[in-house]
Amino acid sequence: MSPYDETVVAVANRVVDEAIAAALGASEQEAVVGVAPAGGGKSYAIGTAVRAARDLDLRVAVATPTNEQAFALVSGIAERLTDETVTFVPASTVTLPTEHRRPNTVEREARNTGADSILVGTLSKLGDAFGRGSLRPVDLLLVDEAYQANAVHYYMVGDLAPRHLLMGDSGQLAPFTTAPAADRWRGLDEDPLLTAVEVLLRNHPDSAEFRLPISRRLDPRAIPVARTFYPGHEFAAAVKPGVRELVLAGATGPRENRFLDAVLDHAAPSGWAHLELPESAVLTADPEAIETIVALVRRLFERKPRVRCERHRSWGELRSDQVAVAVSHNDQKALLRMALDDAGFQNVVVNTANKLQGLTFEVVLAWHPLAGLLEVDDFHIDPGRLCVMLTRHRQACIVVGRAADRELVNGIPPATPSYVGWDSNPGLEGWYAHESVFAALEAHRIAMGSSV
Amino acid sequence: MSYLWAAQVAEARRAGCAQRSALLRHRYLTERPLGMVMWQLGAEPFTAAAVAWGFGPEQREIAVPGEPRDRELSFRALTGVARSFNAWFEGATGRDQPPQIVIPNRGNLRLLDRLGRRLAYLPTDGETPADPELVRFGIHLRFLAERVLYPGQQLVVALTELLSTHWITELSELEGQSLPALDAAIDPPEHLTAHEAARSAEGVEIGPLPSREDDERVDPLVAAFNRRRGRRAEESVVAPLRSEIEQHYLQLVDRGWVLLWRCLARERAYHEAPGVARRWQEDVDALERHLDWVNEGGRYRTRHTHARAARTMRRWEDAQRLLEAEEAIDDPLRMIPALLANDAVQGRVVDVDLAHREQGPKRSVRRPLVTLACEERCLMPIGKQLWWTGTPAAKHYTVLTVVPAGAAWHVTLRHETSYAHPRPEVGEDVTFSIHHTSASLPIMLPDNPPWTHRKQEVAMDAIEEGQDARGWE
Repeated sequence: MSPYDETVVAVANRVVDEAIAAALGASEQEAVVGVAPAGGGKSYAIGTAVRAARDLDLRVAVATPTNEQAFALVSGIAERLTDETVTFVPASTVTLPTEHRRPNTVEREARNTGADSILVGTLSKLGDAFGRGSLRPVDLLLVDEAYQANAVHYYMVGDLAPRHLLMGDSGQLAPFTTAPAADRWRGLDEDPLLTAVEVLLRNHPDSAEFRLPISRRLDPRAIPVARTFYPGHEFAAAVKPGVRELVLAGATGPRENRFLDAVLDHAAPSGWAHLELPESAVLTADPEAIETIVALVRRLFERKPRVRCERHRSWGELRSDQVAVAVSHNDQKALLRMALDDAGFQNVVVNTANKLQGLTFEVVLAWHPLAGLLEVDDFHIDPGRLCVMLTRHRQACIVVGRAADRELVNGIPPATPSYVGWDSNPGLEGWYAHESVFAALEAHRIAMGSSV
Repeated sequence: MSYLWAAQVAEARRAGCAQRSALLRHRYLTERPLGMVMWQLGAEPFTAAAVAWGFGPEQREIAVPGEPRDRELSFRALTGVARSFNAWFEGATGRDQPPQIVIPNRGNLRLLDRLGRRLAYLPTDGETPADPELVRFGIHLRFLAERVLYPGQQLVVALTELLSTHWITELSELEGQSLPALDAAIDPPEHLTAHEAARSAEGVEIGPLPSREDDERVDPLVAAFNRRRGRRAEESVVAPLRSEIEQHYLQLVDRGWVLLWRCLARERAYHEAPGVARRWQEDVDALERHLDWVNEGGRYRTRHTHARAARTMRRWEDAQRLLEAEEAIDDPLRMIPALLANDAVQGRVVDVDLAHREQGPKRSVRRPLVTLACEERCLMPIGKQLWWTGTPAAKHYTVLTVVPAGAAWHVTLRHETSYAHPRPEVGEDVTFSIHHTSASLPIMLPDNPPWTHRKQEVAMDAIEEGQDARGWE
């Protein structure tokens, strides 16, 4: 029996095919938008689009905001299109890492790519080369992670191709800047912080939009929480319930592990646990949270975790590099890294939400952005950050926070700035997203000190 | 929130007095800045009910239109301000330093911005021509309002900002917008704690938005003024009628005027940080470009093009980075947040290996190594890029290894250049941090917007870059 929900997969494939057909059939100066929820298979769809474009003998460029994303696309496309050569266009300080090289990949400076048919690079690099006249235009531009690309990135590559296909995840972290007065242009067409998708839809409101109704990464248990971040966007898991399994060996050993075991024994079958430390106002790198996360990781591996899924149908050991800890701040990351290294978990990934965008793990421990805060602010309430943290896992996600966190988003939301001509309100959207996530996790809440 | 900030707020609470967040003064203060204090009418954010300006506590002029909602009276009063402001600002009166404007708070800044918007685009011909002085005043105010957004600028000093970047108090951000409260927390009267002093001072309003009480007092005065003048607006008629209103605003203005100069004098007493001079030069250059532009009859667009907005944001990001870097490099207290966030490491140099070589892509290259001994465990991730504070504009170093060495930790950094270069020497106490002052790469933006950034139906030719480039910026 197939582990996949064939109806969901078929509908999603049809949407992808329609989006690609629309992009290939677009007239000049037209673009198509494909919006996918977390783990919706955007990068795979990009590969499908490249294949379809090459079948029509079109010259294609694929652009992404970061180098890491570009590397992954190079190897991904090269593996699927073995009869084609994929050209990586590097910035001066960058080179394609060995693990992403394939027999049919090459790395070439922009001015030498005139005869190449599939170009991959960052938006900045392709845009810079095009602006200098050293990159010949292409027939079709594909932008991956288009919700992370800002208006300036998009401006640089706009005229690189007469037709665009923008793929993106609307729930992820939006473009940001370190400039303090960046709301100077909010609501205006020239706002540099609009996403590529926003720019396109402002100027070309007739652009076709396709919503992928699927998440391939998340399983059915994770979907209700993930939906919170995509209002008006219906999607379902590609895998059937029960296909993915995480099992732990029986809990033995000292009594002090009882609480950790309760959390793990809840998370393993249900896919979620929301661990609440006692209420306390703390600084960002809260030592108690660090201790708890390290203890959870240690206990998880003491319990000999085994996993199976649609790709590996027989049981295998959960490896430590399949586990990640998602944090909000670099100092949380630094201290956690040290503590995990000291405990012998060098391979467990620790990173900020920004850096985890686009990545997948079996088990994720999410250090709740609001944990121990006295009041909410724009940074911590950002729905994109929480969305990234809660949508990286294939098996289970354990959220670590403090008891009073939910009270931060109780009652009437605070006044947030609003701008004529700009309908988003991240502060308010974040408030409601946090509120719904707390509600969705209610059934998985396990408070430290409660009788378990 | 930095850990240092949290600790200093707690200390401010414990000690009952404000704490310095900097050892030095990180803003330039000219010898003879122009002070300005303004009041608006309650619900009329585009009016100036009173404008006071001058060059010291004893040197104050004031313009009060009487009825600021009357265009003629309002513009006449503002023309007086405009004449002296323009003459000084444009250098016609022979000022010996570039101009700097000091105002009490952000509210005054926003009012100047609004007045600029109101004045800069007035027609100077037609039926009711505006005085060209007034329009130029508006254009200068627009320039300053835009310049204020540039991180680290010093042409306009809002005192609440100046104080809150150098002091840490128990006040919240909102409370810190009251200059009287902030001043009281920094320099409380002898028998009061900072908290008590700030609490009793925060009731003192210094504008530009009047309190209800102040507005209720002025309302009958303005009503009587309007009744007595009828519809007349000639100066000979209205001047004798508005003395009560003038008296009212003199009293309001003087609350802030004294405070402004006192706070300024207190900050001036601190030593200026070395990095301030570069930023001041940048301000002066921007000012000169502006004055040249205005002299040639140039105007400013109300909207930016895509390319201009993008370049402006990039300039602000660079300016913000340089500001943070220069302050941290200049001032040990400002480096502490970076140290606490593992964005900087301090230690004594125990080894310098100038001859170290590594295999590059083509041949082996020289990459000098510097090793520091740190007393505390260094949590710096391997591979992180750091700059030596001694040469913050030079090539970066990369963290190579962090290893325990007895009670200390040894951090080895690789300098990513083989050039002969000043480098730390053995025995020296040094700081390496993420702060650097090298220039960022320019962005390559086509002058004409791509099709994605142009409206589908309406051509936006009127504000596209490159057209009529002489007349507009």
